[in-house]
Amino acid sequence: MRRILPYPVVVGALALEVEAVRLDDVSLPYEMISSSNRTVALHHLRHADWCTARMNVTVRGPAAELNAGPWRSMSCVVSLTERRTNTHTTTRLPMTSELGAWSGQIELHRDDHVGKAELTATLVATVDGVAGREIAGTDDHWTIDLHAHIPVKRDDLVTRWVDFNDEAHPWLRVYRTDPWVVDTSGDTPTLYLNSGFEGLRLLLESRAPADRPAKEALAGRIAMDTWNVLFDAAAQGVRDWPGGWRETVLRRMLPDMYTDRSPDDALRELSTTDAGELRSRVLHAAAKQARMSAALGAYIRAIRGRPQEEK
Amino acid sequence: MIDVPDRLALLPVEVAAKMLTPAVLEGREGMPFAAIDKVSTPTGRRSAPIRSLIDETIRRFAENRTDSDAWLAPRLHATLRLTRAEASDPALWNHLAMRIAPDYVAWRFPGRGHGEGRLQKINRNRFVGPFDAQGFTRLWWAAELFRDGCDYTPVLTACGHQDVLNTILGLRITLHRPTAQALLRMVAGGVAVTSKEVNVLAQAVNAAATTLVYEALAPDSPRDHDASRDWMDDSNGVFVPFDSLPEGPDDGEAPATSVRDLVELFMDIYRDAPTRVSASR
Repeated sequence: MRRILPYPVVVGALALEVEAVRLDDVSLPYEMISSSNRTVALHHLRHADWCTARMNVTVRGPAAELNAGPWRSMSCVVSLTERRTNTHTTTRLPMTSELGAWSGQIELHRDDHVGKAELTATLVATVDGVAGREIAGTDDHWTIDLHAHIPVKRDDLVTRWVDFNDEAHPWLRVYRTDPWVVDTSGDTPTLYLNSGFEGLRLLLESRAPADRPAKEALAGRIAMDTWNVLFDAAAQGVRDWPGGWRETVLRRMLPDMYTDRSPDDALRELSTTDAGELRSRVLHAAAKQARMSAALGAYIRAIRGRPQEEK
Repeated sequence: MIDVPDRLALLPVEVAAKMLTPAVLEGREGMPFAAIDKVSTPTGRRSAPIRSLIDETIRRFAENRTDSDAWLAPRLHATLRLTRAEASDPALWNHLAMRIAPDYVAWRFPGRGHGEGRLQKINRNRFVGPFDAQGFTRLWWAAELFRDGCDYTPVLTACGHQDVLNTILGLRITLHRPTAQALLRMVAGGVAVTSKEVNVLAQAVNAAATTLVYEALAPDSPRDHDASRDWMDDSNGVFVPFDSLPEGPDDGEAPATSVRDLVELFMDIYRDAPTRVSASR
């Protein structure tokens, strides 16, 4: 969703590509960069103790529009951001001989990163005499994943079957009579499904057509509950986009909570909304997320397809 | 006095959070040290330097605990030499707050009791919480994000104002060093002093960042990571002074021209802000 700004901005898309990556002085195999997933996987077993990753990136804007537009002193910056390490590094790219294209090298220092860094590009120009205006940004950021060895997007939610009565998980014993619990305290939120809860697994994994309505209702209920908890955890004390899964959750739910606001305005609105009203808006957005067939399907698949058994 | 283990250790968030029961937070029960030791993984870092720093803090600032932040932040940062990657692991901070120095957390953040005769409850975020709220991370990150190269002086300004710690530290715009330095310069220079002024300044500059790209207007220079590494490798046996300001990693200052340009720009933004804020109330 584009923001509405009080000055002319670029309508055409801004495309960001990572073309090559070197870990210290070793080139990363081409398979570790995925343009379709917009992800770079940096975990290479043979070069595990690298210090600096250098990436060649190119940004292309709509050349004709840029050329004809009212923008002066255009420049292009790319930013590497990881909220967990409070690191936000911005590099200005030099213009290339191709019209509307900028290209250069950016560095990622391992001491400054720990999980996933977001790579974004922004076009900046002087507009109506005001310097430094953002006139375009990438719609879809790249993810630089330090732990991945294949460039796929990883889930923002992990699902695990655990027997809540098991002594190996003392903190779950408190919830041993509950069918599921959502834990948002770690880096990745985790949905724990209680394998010790009679019939839960049988129903969720059932392939019998007769069980389908019950299974879908239950999966919907779990999804709704999960979105609710995720929202509360993501919105707690938030003043700015928090990055990571918290940001993903807020960006998905806020448009349903404040239909007439831009995401940035909706985020600001959060702190001033009265608690009771906020609750009903959250419920509405959670229900909507849970109802969406894709989300529901993904939940059932997540629950059924990739159970990570914990002993 | 707490019987402290030799080494700092890692205490995972999910376990730590479950240990902070209302009884523990209200001080009716002590921290479950034995249980913490059982589930923590020791690191190679000694706890003694941190512990003596904590003892000195509590001794020096017995009368005014809020003032201790500016004293402790640079010394904590210079004692516990961590990369940002290492500092991002909450497990280290959980252990520090719950096992090494729970007395500091209770002293610095006694919490508010509700009504007569009620027990005072410490906010759990001070033990296990976001980086800008947890008892130790708020200081460590303030020192890391507000220092200017090896100079901790701006950190004194930042930690001397609770509003800077409570408001500005959590904003994404301060991850750009020249922006952080420009804001602190305005606070130190008396442009924004009161709690309300600091908040208005922070909000106005933050709001303007939705259309203005400070990183492009006032570029930062790359940090010297080798210098940081050297400083960190020095950490064993390093003496952190109590009576003078320690030195941080010499990884380069924010470019002076960038900071100056932003101060000029922020002055204009701030000048236009107060009327708007008071009009909207």
